[in-house]
Amino acid sequence: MKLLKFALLALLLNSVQALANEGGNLEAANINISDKESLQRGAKLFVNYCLSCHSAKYMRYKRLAADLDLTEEEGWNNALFPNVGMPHVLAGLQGAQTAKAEVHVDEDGIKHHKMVVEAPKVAGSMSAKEYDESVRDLVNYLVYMGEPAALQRMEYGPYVIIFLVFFSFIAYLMKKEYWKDIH
Amino acid sequence: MSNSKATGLLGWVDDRLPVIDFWNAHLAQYYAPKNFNFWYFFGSLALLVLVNQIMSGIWLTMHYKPNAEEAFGSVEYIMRDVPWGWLIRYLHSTGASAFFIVVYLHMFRGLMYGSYQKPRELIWIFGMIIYVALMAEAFMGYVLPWGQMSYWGAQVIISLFGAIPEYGDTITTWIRGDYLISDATLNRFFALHVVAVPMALLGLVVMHIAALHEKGSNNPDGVEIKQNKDENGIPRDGIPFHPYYSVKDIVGVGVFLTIFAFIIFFAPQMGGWFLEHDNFVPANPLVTPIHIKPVWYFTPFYAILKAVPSKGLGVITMGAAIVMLFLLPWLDRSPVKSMRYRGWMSRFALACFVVSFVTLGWLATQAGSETQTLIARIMTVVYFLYFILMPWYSKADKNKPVPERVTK
Repeated sequence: MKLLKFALLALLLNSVQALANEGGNLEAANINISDKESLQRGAKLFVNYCLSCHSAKYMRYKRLAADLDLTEEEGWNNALFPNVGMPHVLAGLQGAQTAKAEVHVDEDGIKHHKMVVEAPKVAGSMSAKEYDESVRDLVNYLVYMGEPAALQRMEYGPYVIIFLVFFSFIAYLMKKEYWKDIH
Repeated sequence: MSNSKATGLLGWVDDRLPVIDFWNAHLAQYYAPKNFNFWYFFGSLALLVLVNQIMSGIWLTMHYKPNAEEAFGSVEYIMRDVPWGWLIRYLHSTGASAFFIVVYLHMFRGLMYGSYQKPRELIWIFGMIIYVALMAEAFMGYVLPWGQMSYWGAQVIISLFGAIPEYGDTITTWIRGDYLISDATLNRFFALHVVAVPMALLGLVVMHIAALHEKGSNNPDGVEIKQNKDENGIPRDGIPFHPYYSVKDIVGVGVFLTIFAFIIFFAPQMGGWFLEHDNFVPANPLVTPIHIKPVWYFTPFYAILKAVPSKGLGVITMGAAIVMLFLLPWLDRSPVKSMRYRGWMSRFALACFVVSFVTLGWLATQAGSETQTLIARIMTVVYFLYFILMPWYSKADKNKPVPERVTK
């Protein structure tokens, strides 16, 4: 009987403990990791909203794709850096381009292989012109990000040069004045 | 010897430290030839750049972290987050290249006007030691940002010491402080670059100027102004350094700073020549850059090193290329100092030397090919012939008569 009372008391106190955590009253989350569709939706939310600031560097995409039946990243290549591992992250904007290999035979009978990139068969959310301008914006941003101080130095530069030219000129006049004594 | 005429604060100091005598001996009554031209700006400019490197270096040291994990990041921090950090960094990196431009032009003046000839041999020797110390300082400074070129440049140059027979490996381990280029290497290069070599440079510059003042400057005509003094013992072709050359050098400083500022504010990387592209990538011991090459001011010697097919001989040849410069006062047997009055052989030899130096420099920056290696070998021979044949052509040359007094 004493044991039972003790057990009941422990149970009661512990459930209070679960509610009285730091951070206030937390609701139960109804965890069920076998619910694959929930996990897929959750993964999408995490990637879209959380991943930019919080790292998940120990979670490999390959494993995530296998567990959650996500599409594998495959089939991307590019004509500029062939066989690079990075997928085309802007495919949604540009549309998915395809390429075909062409073989040209020149006068000497030598075969030349060329990758010819074709226009997207499935359109992206931007036109070719819009996409071009967007990529230009992105590159522009990356150049800025490489050296933000460029904005400041190009702003101050002209004033510094103007002062120094003026200074050199005045110094030169002073030199000439002193050197009148010579010869 | 205190100056009884001085009163007030100056008098008090002069009584205890001979400042007035010093001022007179080295400035107000130090007589320099009156015909200094464009080539004579570079000594004072070298001093200006030295001061710039020291001051900008001190402020960089306040934020830079000499640790393999943090070095690269600390430089980015200086460039982005330290107020005016970008300016301090560019002053230092542009200053390093400016130092070598100024010093090479300063040395070239010596070659043109025979400034190394007797009685000024010691000035030349001190200058050459300064040059070697400067190369060491620049090399170590370049390692500090811990970029790809920092790491791999250090790897190549330190491994050259491995060419020393028998003790090579022990020596390279000793220099590195480790069995490979690592944090230990970075830390000791920091100590040497910030403290040891700058102190040595300052001492050497003092010696260099002291030796100069003992004999007085040479000039573009190579005429010894001390041989023609007036009744007061003042050289007829001499003018007091202060105010004439202090005021003239200020003009030189103004023009120099204008060009310097233009580079800092509008082209600090100089298309990869002053701040190399590879060095914007953090050091990675597992990935070797495609072309490991030193910064532009080392390129002629690097080309000589690459031109020689054997590693050991290459190192010796590269070293000899610098040693030859030390020997100039004794290789040159011309009775005439200045190129203005020398015969065609000396002029041709100097022109060939300049062509070989510049060509070798350019070749070191290229990817390399059979033709390029051949040209590098030919140019290396031309470089050495300038020195090796000098005892003959400097003596055999038909010189023009040297005037008694300086021309303008």
